[in-house]
Amino acid sequence: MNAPLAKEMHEPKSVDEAIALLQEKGKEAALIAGGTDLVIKLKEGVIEPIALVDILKLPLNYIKGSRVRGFQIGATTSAKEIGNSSLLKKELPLLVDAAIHLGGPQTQEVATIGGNICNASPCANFTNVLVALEASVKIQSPEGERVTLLKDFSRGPGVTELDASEIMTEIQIPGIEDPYGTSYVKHTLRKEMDIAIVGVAVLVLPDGNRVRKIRIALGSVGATVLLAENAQRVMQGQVFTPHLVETAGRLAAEKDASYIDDVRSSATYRKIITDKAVKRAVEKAWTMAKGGKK
Amino acid sequence: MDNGKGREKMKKDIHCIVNGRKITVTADPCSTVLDVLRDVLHLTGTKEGCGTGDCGACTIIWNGKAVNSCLLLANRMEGADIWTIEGLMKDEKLHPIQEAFIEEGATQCGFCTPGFIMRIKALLDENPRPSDDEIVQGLVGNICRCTGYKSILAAVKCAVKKIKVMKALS
Repeated sequence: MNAPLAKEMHEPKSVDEAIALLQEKGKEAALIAGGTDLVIKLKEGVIEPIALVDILKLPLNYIKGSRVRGFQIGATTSAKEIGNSSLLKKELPLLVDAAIHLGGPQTQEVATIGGNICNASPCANFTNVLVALEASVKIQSPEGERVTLLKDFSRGPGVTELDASEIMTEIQIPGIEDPYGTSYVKHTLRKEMDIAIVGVAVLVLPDGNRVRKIRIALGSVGATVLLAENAQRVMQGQVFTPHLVETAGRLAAEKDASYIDDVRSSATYRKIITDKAVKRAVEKAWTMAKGGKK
Repeated sequence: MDNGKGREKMKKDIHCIVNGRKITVTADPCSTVLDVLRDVLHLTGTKEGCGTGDCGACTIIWNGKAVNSCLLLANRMEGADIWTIEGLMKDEKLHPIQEAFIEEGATQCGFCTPGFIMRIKALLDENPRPSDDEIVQGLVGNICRCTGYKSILAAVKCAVKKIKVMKALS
């Protein structure tokens, strides 16, 4: 029989109790929710905590709000619950899109939105779309609660601003007024189960034929999910034209993203795909904003 | 890692239902459910393929959900309702999904079969009339290196019909 993956298992009954445990154990503890990333890291010896603190049974599993007022989503809400949510399907299909493309069905059953974010992969589906939606995360610490913008929360692959004694408890998505458009283009070589070579999520708010506001979040092309600020700036306030989309794609690929060679793709290929994926995502979001297919 | 000595005290009595039977299993809550099923309960029908949640060979049904048991830790067995391939046969009769696999020749080396069957069971429990696309989408978390999947998809469609007939008769 394989050796157990840690020495202690704790199942706190409240967030406060979980934080107290994290404070007591310090760096010897690791939080576990869905476990679909963490258990692999334990097996591979990437992390070797003495104690696991299981937070799956804490009351952090909920989807509240509406698109116009904004959403609050509990950190341990599973990808399956988000993918199946009739409220989100109707009000914020972008999030559903991220959920149903997160691993396979067995992973989606247990993988949580908070885990996907705290694992801090630059390829994370939820982080990718949530950065475009300008989401924030609520963090509970021994000192109290704070809210931080998701785009600043990730510091690099596997690194977040969370201290050893803190827990991310909620994802907050600001309200979005009509008319609006969103899109998520995830480029993979296989259709399913694959991690994005490039991911692009867009939120666009039109004002007639002008771009009132646009957010373009790029995944897998930097140390964290990042906003394509040069591309956003060039589109801001401008009349939406094919030429503008071309320019935005080129700027995102050349100025905003950075590329590495890895097992999934060469840097050169990533750059070509970023250009195309940004154009496609922007066009898709604009079509939706102008009353096209949602 | 230690060699397992001195770990006895870490083990706990875990109360759960496995294949319809209430049991108490003594196991380390930091072991995987897969290891507990295979090495403690000797339910070796559930297979370990990749061990990283990619292949689906270790799929079981946990509280009604098809999950990879290689990534689920044993503390999650407490109070849980767990089904493995060993639990599908009823009154010495194979489950319709098992029968469909035989009839359609959906198995070659057989290593992935228990995982596929448990995933299909959960899929059909949730959606008894899946479309072709829903079947394909539902099975993306299971890998088969032998069949080329065609016979597996045929088996799912065959199982849908069999279950429908079975329900109509009961």
